[in-house]
Amino acid sequence: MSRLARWRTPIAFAMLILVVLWVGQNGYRQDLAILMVTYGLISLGLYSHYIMGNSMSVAYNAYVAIGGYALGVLCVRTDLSMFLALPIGIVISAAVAVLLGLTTYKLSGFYLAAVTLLFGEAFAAWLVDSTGITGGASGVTLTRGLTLFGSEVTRQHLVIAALVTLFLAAWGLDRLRTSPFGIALRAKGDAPRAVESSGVSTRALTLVSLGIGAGLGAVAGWYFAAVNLSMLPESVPLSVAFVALFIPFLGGYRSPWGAVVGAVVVTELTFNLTWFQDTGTLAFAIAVLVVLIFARRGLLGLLGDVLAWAVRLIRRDGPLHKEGRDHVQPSA
Amino acid sequence: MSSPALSCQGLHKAYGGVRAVHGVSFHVSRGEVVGLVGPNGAGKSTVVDLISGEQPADTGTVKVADRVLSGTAARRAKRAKLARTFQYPQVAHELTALENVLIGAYATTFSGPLSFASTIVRGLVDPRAERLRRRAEEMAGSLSLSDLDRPASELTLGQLRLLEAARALSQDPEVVLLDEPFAGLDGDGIQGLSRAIRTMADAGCAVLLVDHNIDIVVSLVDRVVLMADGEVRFDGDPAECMASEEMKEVYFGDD
Repeated sequence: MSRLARWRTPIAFAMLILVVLWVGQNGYRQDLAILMVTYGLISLGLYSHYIMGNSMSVAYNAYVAIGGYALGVLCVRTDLSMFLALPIGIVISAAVAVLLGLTTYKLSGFYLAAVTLLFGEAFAAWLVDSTGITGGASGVTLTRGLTLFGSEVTRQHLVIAALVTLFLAAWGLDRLRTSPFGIALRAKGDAPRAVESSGVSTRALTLVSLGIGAGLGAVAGWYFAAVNLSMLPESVPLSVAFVALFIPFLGGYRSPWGAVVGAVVVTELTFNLTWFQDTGTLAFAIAVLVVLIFARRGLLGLLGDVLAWAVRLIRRDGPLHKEGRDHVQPSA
Repeated sequence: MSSPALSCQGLHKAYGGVRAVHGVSFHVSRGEVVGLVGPNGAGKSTVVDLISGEQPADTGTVKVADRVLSGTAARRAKRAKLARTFQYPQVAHELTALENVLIGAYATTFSGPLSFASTIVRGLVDPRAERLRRRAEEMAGSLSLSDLDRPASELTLGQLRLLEAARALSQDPEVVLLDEPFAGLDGDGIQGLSRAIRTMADAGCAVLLVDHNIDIVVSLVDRVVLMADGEVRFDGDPAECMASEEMKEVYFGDD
């Protein structure tokens, strides 16, 4: 484990606390935070099956919508606790992803991406057409607030919970990545025959990773709807999945924390740099290209390289090294 | 030696009009190392693929411990405790050498849908799975495979073969299929792998060894199955095989 990798979780935890303090009760910062969490969770979802398992499924607008609409529909049509919508959304999303994965199992690469893209587009159309369930083009508006054990859950609470969820999702994926499941999943992309011949079903690995990804998408949708008190068909357009697809590459694809770093950068670029907003995703694409060309391991990789360089520099000029160098000076 | 651990009966495989394997039958007993030899195109690797489930046989059966094997390679590997290596090493180049070996050790934790779920949960709690990691490290060490933290993409062909062998052995198999494991190995590698194969066989494992290097095979195996043109030409003692007419015919022609 590298020096930086060992400190990833404590650094991320410290960052989480700082972000929570920074967000506070400021509505604009809460908007930024929830957008970052949405991007982050979608990117982590993609990370679980695309970066780790080499299976590209881009129907994230559908998975996020399922999470958001599960909350909206449960709120409007039932008296049940709105927290129930979270597991319901996760299960439905994961089931849809697994079903989609089963039907497209023989497909891979571009073809799998194309089919899931088509599904995402069809799902978006269905959201608008199914007025009886989804409220059609006007979507669903939450008619009551969230309560937990009789206490009201405020927007600030939700944003903090969303940030903690993002932290936990990245932490969990980071652990899964080096676990038996993660190693088998990562090997599947490069050496599926080896994995199969070892007795691990590559199909099962693919489906489970797709399910994990879709589940994370649903969580993002739930938070998005809970914080914004509504869910519309255009809340999470298909293009979000494409932006999210590149976020791990921007942040650093060798660790799920890279997806979080990428999400922070994209959110900041989208909201605070107006030139970026004006020129749309083209500027983002250029930024990703620049990173991929000059820092192929993403921003985290670049940071790791800079730290390693700095450590080498300090050691070279440090007193210990000078002493050592004096000892090996040739006598001539 | 006791009852056959692995037996093949009347295996046939054709690709269009080309007959790759034709009526191949043989067995490997527990604790036995059997060499499957023959010239290029004899059908040896196809037989290994048919046994492991990489390819379906047109006709014929494969049994492990009297149980007919069917289904995917993963299913066969899991149910029959079958492990294999490949003629062209199949390794995940992005992973380290140790992680590649670990795939074999970890495979034992994926034995069904429930264990799949529990493997994920346990992975969250204890991602390093120290016990299995130590086992993989020991296995790699026994094959003189060093630099385990290096990415597999930086390994030589010989090291990749050892890595595949270590992965297969980490599965704690009862039947092992080794497809040209000695190709590209240096002297130390050959010695280490030979020792590991013998140790496995002594522990009761059935080993089917496919290799071009007749000298190594004959020095290592208990029995030889000679193949040519998709058929078995000889099945018996290595020394008898070397002296047989079939061997001369297959390798040197009728003249």
